[in-house]
Amino acid sequence: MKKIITTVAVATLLSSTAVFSIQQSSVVQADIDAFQSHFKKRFPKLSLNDFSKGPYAMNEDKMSQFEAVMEMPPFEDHVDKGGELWKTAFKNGKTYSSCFSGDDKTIRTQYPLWNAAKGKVIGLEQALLDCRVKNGEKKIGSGKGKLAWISAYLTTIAEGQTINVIVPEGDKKALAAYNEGKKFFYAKRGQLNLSCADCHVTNPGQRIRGNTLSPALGQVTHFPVWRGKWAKKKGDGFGTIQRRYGGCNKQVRAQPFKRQKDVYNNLEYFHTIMSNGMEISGTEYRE
Amino acid sequence: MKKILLILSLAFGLSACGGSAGYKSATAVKAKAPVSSYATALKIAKAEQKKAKKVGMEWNTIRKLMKSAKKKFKAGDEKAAVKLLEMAAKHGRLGQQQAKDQAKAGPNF
Amino acid sequence: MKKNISIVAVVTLASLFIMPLEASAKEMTGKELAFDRKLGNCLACHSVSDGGQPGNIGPPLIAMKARFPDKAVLRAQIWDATVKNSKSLMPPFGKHKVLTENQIDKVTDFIHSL
Repeated sequence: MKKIITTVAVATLLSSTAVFSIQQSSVVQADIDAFQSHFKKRFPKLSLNDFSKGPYAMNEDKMSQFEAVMEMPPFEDHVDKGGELWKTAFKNGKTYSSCFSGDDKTIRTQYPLWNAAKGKVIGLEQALLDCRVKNGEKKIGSGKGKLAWISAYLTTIAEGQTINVIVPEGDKKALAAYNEGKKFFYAKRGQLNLSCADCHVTNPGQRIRGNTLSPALGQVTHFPVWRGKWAKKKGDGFGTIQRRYGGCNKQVRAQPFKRQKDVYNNLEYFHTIMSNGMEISGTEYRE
Repeated sequence: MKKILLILSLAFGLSACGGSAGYKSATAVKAKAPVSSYATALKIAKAEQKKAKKVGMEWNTIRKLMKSAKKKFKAGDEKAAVKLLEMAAKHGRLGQQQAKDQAKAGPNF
Repeated sequence: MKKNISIVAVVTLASLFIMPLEASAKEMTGKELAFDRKLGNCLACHSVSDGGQPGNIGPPLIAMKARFPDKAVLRAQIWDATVKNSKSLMPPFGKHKVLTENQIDKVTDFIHSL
């Protein structure tokens, strides 16, 4: 009897994933719609893709600064290096590309990706690391440096492609991961008691001291970014979105979490999904 | 030379601590617990930190306070070190409270 | 050797007495506390007269006596603004031990004078 039930259950599950595997969870779609309409209502003059320019879309002076830097991007060489690394074969003769399906240009748009077999969210940087390990290469740091350049290359060639990150309809585990990320995003944390949303949903465009707060909508379209602030420190100025999460958490005086682990992966999952339908803008400059 | 200083300052710190504890319990502040040792205070602070971490609400102030406490202790000022550790423990408890307060956090649109 | 020890002892003792004195000499005013980026950092969100580069997330800190006839209400707001409004962005300076009680008194006095 038990066996029959399991068989039936498995069959149902299989068929449901077969039918719905590319369909966004309706609960999540409702969240996306509410999130995006909040921003559109608040900034009626901006188009959906304008939000990817962040604080620059909300301040003309800043926009001209941004455009000046982007005319001669200080990070181009590193993006090119990322491209070379992407195309260079591992010792076993395979390349990164062998670990991904479809056109290289659309890889960026699907990540972070829900991995049903592993039961967790895999970010693009983690997927690149997994690819290295699978092919007998060493793990490397994931916040900046080479891995960030490769990721920046994939982001740059994805310019104009549409973000399409999915919580498969009917997949409870995927929805749970999404909800974890959502909760993280809206919960006040740290000694200063501020949530991601407090600044980037409630107050985008407002100033904190001299800095204009960016809108959460569109933040994921241009990561890894090249930051002037990071370039002043050791390193090359590149940083992945999870490096940025760590910085944000420190600013509210919360202990940052480890990169490529569930907490930030789930946050990145939620955060990216909120910008579904927006175009990837390529790696960009940020203050 | 360095060693002598360390031993001396340690001895001084300990005697000062013992002295003040004795003084306090002998006078008005009977209700207050005697000044705890660095080791005890560190243990308590670490336990609170661990609980806060478990609910995902560890503040980054805790490790800083612990580091400063260690410095004070090494310099022979156990009293100041314990005070910092008590603050670290407090931050741990406040983080745990924050997790409870934010359990139902969500969008307001 | 013995001489060494006694010198060290004197120095240690002396420094112990000097340190607290120094600390009290450097005690910050309410305005300094309010403007310090690691302490009050009021300017992160509020404009205050003669405070450079203020943010605009919170209301400008003007006419405070009219807005808060009762200073205790202002102090409570600084101590934990989420009591009145759970969504408030203002850090709970007292509840979360960002400032000491004494520092909050001083900041309250300063803000109330604006």
